[in-house]
Amino acid sequence: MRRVWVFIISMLIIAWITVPITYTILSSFADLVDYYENVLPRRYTLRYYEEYLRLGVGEALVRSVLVGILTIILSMIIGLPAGYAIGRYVFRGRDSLKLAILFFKVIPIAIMAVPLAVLFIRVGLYDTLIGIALIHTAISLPFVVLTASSVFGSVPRDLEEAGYVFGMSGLQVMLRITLPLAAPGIAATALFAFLISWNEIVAAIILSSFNRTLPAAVMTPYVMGTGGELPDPYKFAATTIMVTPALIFMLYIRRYLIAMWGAAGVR
Amino acid sequence: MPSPLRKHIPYILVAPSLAYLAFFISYPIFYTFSLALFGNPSPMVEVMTSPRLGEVALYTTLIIATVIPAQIVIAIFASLFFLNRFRGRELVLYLFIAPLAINEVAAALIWYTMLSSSGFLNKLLINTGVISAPIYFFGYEFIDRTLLAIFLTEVWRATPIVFIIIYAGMQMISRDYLEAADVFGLNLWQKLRYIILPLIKPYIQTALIIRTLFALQVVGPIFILAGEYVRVLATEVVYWYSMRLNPGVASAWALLIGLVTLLLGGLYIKLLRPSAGAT
Amino acid sequence: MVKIDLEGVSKRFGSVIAVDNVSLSVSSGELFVLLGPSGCGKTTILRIIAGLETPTSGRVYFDGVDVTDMPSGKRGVGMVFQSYAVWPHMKVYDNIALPLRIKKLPQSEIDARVRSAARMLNIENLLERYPFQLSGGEKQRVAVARAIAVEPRVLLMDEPLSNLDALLRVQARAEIKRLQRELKITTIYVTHDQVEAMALADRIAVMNKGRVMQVGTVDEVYNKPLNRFVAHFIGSSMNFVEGTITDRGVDIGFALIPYSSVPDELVGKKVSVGIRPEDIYLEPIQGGVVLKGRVVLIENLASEYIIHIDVSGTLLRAKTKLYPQGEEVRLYIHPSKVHVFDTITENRIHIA
Ligand SMILES: Nc1ncnc2c1ncn2[C@@H]1O[C@H](COP(=O)(O)OP(=O)(O)O)[C@@H](O)[C@H]1O
Ligand SMILES: [Mg+2]
Repeated sequence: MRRVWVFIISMLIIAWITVPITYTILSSFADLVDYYENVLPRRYTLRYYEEYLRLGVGEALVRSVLVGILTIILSMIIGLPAGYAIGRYVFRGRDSLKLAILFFKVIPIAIMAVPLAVLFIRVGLYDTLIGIALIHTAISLPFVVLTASSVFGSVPRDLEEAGYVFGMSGLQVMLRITLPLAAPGIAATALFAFLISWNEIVAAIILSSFNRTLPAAVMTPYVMGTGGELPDPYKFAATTIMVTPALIFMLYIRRYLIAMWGAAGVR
Repeated sequence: MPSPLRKHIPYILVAPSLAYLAFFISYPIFYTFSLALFGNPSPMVEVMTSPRLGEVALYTTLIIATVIPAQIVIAIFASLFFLNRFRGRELVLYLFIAPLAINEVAAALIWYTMLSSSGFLNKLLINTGVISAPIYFFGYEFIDRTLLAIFLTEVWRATPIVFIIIYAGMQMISRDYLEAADVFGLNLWQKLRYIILPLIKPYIQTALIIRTLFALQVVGPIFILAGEYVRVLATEVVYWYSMRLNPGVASAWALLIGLVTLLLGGLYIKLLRPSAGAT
Repeated sequence: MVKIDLEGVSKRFGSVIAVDNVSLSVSSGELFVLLGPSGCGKTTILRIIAGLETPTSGRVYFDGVDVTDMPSGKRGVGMVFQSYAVWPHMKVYDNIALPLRIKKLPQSEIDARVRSAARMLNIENLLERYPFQLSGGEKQRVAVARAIAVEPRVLLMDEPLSNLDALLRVQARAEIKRLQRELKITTIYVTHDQVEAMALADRIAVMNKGRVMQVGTVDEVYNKPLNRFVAHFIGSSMNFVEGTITDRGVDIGFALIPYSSVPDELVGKKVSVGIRPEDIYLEPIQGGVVLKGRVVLIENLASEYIIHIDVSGTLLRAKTKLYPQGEEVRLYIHPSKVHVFDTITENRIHIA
């Protein structure tokens, strides 16, 4: 009896998630006439992807990857030390610091983006990849710090102390014990920073006009089009390009999601 | 290793992050205030007296007040479900949280594929002869249905965040508590009501806060599914900045988001203060 | 091997005083056991000696050299952690070898030392395994091997056997004792288990609430406990009876324990009198005091019996190999096996 219910609910969940995604991906390859008439397309084509490349979506894709990588680099360099400190040391102000970081996490991006756009125009960072990466770093930094603190915090203390007792320096303990043990979690943190950047829209739109990242480019009028609208399957091609890498990353990150979201309790 | 330097190590490690965040947050906040408040006429005054304000308030409230309760309920039941051990659990769990990796725009387009006049649902129903003309979800005349589409998209896309937080809380509950409840003959509902919910209250609180504050920032599904027919706080910011090229008014709307964020955050913390012992 | 001295060592954590003005002296080559209930500060003392913790006040000396501020790695200690702290991302071989590599020993020497330590602990066949492939007992051996491979001046062990099951614990205990005898490393061993302490120790320090209550050989702490706490903590749980000192001995209501030379100033003092169950006999002994009682309950422990006896309203426990005949019994106690403590200060009163 219980097994039947588990089976039914599992099937519902699987359908709820996979049907929309699969159908979108399928539609992005559907022949146009076919798409408007049949539930399951019979003829398939790559023309939307090809056309997209001509419209500059390929470049937007490259920009998205570059911004994502820049975001990883910046947020790791800046955020990992803080994550280590919070996960490893007990110091005055640690709790208020955590609370402040939590607060940064929920600051509306719109508030940050508009003034920064004005500033970036003045200093020449507007519409540049660095400019977007800078704000994406600001957005992902709270996540990086809190996740890293939980990753470092879960490296048992006595493993490090054993290192000190047997004569290692602080740096040696870090390199030989702490980092190898924390590595999988740190990798997940990096991927998560990338995902945040890859998926971020508001700041990307506001801080750029021509050099847009993928989701921002997809949102521009001539793609989404309120006037000379492109046929639907184009949109699905864009969706497929955005969704596929994200779903693959998720496969790796998923074990760490509880640390990223759950452990950040406001208590 | 007692050296004077050692005491300062954590502060030195934390400093770059704090400085970075402080700059990227405090500078913009400060600047948002000046952009939003000063000018002739003051953009803030313009916004507060604009005819759009009522409409924006209505839709913002409507979306948040329907989406979030639904997500909490779904997340609680999903958490209960995933406490079961069964074959294929890993896969189902991954699928359930997978939308977390999908951005707003993509999620909106995915549901557009499902619901548009030539989308999955309509084609399925027409081809099987259930209906003869498509059901329209999008367009000015169908705002109710558009709102339903936005609701579905948001529930589909953002429930995983709520789920992960609540599930984390449920995993913390010691098996002993539930087994004790079994011994004393509590049924599923009673266990939920008297044991599980009180124990996960702090997690529900966290989920509520995080989810509400993020919901205030959603633009993708609204722009894509409703165009300009449905307006919320966040879409106004993008609209005024990107399409009307007016940073002042955009800032005023952004400032409103900030104020509502603070207000709701404070309200939740006050209302849902964990009762003594329920930690 | 070194001699270790602690001089007035205290450690506070916020408002908690974990270690309270402890002075100890551990002789070179000795196996010294810190014994006390959980939370009494044993681990903290060990960590202070290891250099993982800095005392709030007081000094630590190795062979007379002040090491209080010396970094842990420079002290030449080997440590076995309660959780073993075997690094999970390295094979057993590398776990033992890493501290030696840090010391930049030549490769051949490292290999020789790893193998000899492994041989001593009988884990040669485990060297290529990862920790997750080991049982608790095997991990414990790896932790010990790692600690002795560095040829430490001091070996520190924090409840190394508490995570093992009972049978394994007895074996491992004997092994540690043998190893320590062989290597003659000054060893400080922490445990809350008095049986373990007595089996291992050259000398024991009994601790309570951050303080050292008594330091001595097993015989000393067993036969001459300096206060009520030590008397209670060591050995099977003692019978306590209230009494008063008189000029002829100690009056415990239902009997008088005779002492010949009672100093005048003690007469009239209220005392707690402790008698171990194993010091209460059912057959007559030379110079014994006789008590009459009624058997209430007999616990059969297979090799011996715990007999609960009502002596004029006071319940006493006796541990004996004899099965009592009939309800009414006579008990015999020797005055030299009676421990007398001041009721107020709880300190031992020396009386003969
Ligand atoms: N890092 C610490 N922070 C705060 N209190 C501590 C810390 N380490 C130990 N204590 C406290 O000091 C006391 C002694 O602890 P410990 O030395 O671990 O005792 P034991 O090893 O004898 O069980 C306990 O009350 C413990 O709670
Ligand atoms: Mg301890």
